[in-house]
Amino acid sequence: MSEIPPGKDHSDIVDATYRQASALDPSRPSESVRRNVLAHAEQLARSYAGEVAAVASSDGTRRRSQHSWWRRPAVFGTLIAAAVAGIWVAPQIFLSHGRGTPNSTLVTSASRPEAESLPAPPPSPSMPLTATPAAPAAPTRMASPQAALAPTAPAPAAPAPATPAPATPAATPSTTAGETLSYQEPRESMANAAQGHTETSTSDTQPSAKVAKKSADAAEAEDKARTPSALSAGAALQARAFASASRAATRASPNTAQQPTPTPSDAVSTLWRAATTGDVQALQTSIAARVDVNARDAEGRTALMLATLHGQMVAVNVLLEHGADPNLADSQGITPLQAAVNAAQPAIAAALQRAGAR
Amino acid sequence: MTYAGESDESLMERYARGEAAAFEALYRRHEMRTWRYLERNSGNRATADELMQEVWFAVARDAPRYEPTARFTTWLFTIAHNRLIDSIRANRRHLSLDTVGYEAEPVIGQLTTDPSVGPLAAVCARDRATALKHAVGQLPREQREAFLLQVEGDLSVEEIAAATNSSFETTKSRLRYARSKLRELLNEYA
Repeated sequence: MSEIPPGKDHSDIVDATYRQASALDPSRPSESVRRNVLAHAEQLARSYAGEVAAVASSDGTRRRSQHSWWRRPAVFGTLIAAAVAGIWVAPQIFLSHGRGTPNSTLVTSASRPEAESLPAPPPSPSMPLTATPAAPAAPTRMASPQAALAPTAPAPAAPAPATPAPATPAATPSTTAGETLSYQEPRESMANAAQGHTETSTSDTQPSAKVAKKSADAAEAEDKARTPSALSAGAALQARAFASASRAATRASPNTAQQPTPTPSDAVSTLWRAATTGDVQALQTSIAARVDVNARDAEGRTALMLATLHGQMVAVNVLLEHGADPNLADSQGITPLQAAVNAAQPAIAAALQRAGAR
Repeated sequence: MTYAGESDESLMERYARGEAAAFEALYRRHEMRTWRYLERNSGNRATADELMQEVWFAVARDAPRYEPTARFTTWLFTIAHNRLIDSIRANRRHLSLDTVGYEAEPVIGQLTTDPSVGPLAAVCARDRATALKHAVGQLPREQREAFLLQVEGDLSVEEIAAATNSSFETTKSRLRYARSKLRELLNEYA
């Protein structure tokens, strides 16, 4: 071995000599090697092509799913909205048709003057409740359509004579030993107003009246089921009349729905609206007013569900802090957690999971 | 489809997408260089065939993971080098040129024979190639490897150093000593 490495020129000579001799080298790899290598490569190429196609198709599927994730909820929402609109609009069409008949117009116009002369609750709500026989009052109201229409007037504002007020059909069944109340709170008068309108419609025996009566009967049945029979007569009546009034305000004909007095449904609506818009102040005000945070709208959606659907993270947190149930599904069976996942709201989904959502 | 103007890296990407013809073009482009590197390092045709198959199988298998951060030939000859080292370490049955003990004097004599004179030109050409292989076989393994990586794989000193896991200076020295050895033989028998 040389002690002194060769220079560049010598390297070139050696390399040139090597390459010249290599070009003359007839030795080659065996044909079987070439065959094996190319066959193996072709086999792998097929699998690579399959993988590329699979990746491309999965990308396309993912892209399609990303683009259409909102379509299903949108379709369901549209159908639900159409159904709700149908439910609300159809009875109103029937009712307006009913009001257009001569009989209805006559009865209503005839009842107006009498309504003003009919007894109203006393001005002081602190007056003690006294029980009076109710048996004669109810048949009288049922027998006279004019008398039944009386509560449609704004009774709370009217001066209160000492004559006993007629008992409402809602109050009568639960009143023990045939007793009823001689004093009704303004809310009770509202209930009577709604109930009275229903009874008037019943006396007209028109299709719209039947629908309205069914609603009133259903409300009564709910009240009966919810109110324990062991309640005292006054408390039970007040609670029942309050609930009846609120339902009547939303279900009854436009005549009674125009009552300006705030109802519990307004407070719940405020809660839902605040949850939808993320108005934390209004939300906290509603919660402070002891509104049921788990109240559902016509589609069975709670305020938490509405806040989730609209991506209102702060509202979701406030509702969860105040006891909103994270597992209450809507009428479609969709839970808030599912809604958060569908709406691509990972932070809300995490908050719901922390609160125990499944 | 012809791939004459396409780079090695482009052919690899095509093959990774499932284009088998691209691999065949690549194989034919580098077949002989790979073969010579393996055959002249192993000194045995059967071993070279076996290693050749292993190397190109590895190229085909690793094609989807190949990233053209370096030249394809650098990657290819690095694989070939590693297979060769594995083969030697596994003590496979092959004829090591280090242990064969080629005689340098007749080899160099064949290298200096003029192939263009007379009807024996073809025989002389073959003999010259054989003499060359014998001359290369005279080199120590590390020097032979470095030399063949440069002349067959067209690798730079840095690339050879990286492929053989050696330092730059060590690789440079190996190359110089390899060429010095071959030059001595040439001068001696010229």
